[in-house]
Amino acid sequence: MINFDEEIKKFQPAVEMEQLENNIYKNDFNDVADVLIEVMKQAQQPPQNYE
Amino acid sequence: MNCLYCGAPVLINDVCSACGLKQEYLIKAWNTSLYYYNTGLEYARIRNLTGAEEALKAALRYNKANIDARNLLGLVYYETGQVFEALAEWVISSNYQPEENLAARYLKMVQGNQNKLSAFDQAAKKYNLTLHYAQQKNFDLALIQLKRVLNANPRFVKAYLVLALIYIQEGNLDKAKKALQRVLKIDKYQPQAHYYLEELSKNEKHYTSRSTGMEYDDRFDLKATDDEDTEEEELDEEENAKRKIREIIERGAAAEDIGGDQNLEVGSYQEIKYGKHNVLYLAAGLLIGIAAMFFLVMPARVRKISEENMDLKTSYSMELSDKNITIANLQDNNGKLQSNLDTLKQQMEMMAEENSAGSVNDTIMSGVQAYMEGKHQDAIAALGGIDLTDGNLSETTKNCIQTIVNGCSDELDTCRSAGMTAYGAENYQEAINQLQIFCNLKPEDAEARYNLAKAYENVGNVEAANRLYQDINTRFPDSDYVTTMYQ
Repeated sequence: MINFDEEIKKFQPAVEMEQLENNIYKNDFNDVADVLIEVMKQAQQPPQNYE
Repeated sequence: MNCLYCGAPVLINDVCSACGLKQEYLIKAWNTSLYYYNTGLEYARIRNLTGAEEALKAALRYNKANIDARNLLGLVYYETGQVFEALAEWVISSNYQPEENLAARYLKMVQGNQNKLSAFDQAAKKYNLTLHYAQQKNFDLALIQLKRVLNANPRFVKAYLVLALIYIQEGNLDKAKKALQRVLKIDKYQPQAHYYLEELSKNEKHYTSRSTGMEYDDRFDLKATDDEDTEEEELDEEENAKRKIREIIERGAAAEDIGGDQNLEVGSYQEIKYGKHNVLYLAAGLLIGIAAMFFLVMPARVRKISEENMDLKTSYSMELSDKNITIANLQDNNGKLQSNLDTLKQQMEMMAEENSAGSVNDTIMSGVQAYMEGKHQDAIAALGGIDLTDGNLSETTKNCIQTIVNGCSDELDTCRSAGMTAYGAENYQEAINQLQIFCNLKPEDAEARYNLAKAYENVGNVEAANRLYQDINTRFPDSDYVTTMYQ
């Protein structure tokens, strides 16, 4: 059964012209290479001591 | 060999000297990215735009600099009405590869038409407003806004889905199905549309029963999806966009041979050429004006001029006819008057002759009376004006006068002598007076007549002088006074 309230929540607002710049920065996500570099950086850091 | 990620030299152990990434991993990641791009491309070709979007996003997760995948993702967004998402992808693509990038051309084409871009922006704003109204169950306002959204952006898949959802909620299943069919025409495998349609087919009675007691809403009616004319117009407008997507598909298909089957449709963003339209409108207006002048104004004008000419000709003909009649009347009158004049002249001549005869008789009578009274001098003076050579005088009259002349011979001699003396004294007028009386009563004296002629000649009366010279030549041809020296 279609639940209108649940279904309408799935719809996200459309991007407007004013939001274009923010959308560009937000959209430029990291790829696998960025993730690998980040992992290597974290691996090179000394382990933190937790009390 | 240089690092695929940062461009730094790669060490012998296949690790980048700068970023430390193993090149084998990078190559695998890029190959995986190409795999997903090809998958997205295949999906796009069969109009599975949702699947294509997911595959292309995956391709970008493995290699965010996969230009073709990013450009195709932008086209998929544009086709589903998400214009600003498409613009974002193309801007990022242009940033990664500024030269020889189709994204730059797409951006130029879309941003070149600011009116359309502004319409898309308004559509996005109204769509967001529609979501707000729908969440508040304010379906009337939501439907009004959706109508405007879809007029401005007729390929906005999400708007169709919201529209279908609202229609389902209102129990208007036919319109909901129509909206969902429109979605599937754009995106064949759109999962939400398929889900809604499946649910509607399964539980149609349930959704129909919702509409019981609800007023049927006919405020917004979708155009028929099978409207072939509209579809053809849209296809014509989108011909350029199709060509572009083919180009990027062919470029991106380096890892795989792509077939020639191209059924993919994309959205339209053709710029309206207002200048061309204005020139066409102006030319059409001029043609219509000239045609109206030719077919409406000119015939009326020609007809009016012809009528005026006919009127003028008729009036001139009538005037000419009147004049001819007048001339004929005047000529007739003139003839009558001329005949009257001739008649009167004849009458006057007859009356003059009668008067003349009367006058001669009176003169003779007075001469006879003076002679009988013994007044010879008066008798000669009275008769001196009568020329005895005049043919009009009767013989009786001549004999009567001759008798008186014989009785007055002394007085006539005196008259002749006085005339001769006056002529000798060059008193020509007195000579004429005396000699004229003598010559009238004694016409046989050639000398006296000659002297009278000379006297006339000397006073300038050449005509009288010539008449006398001719008379002498006729009646006295043997005399010494015959002359031919007159003029």
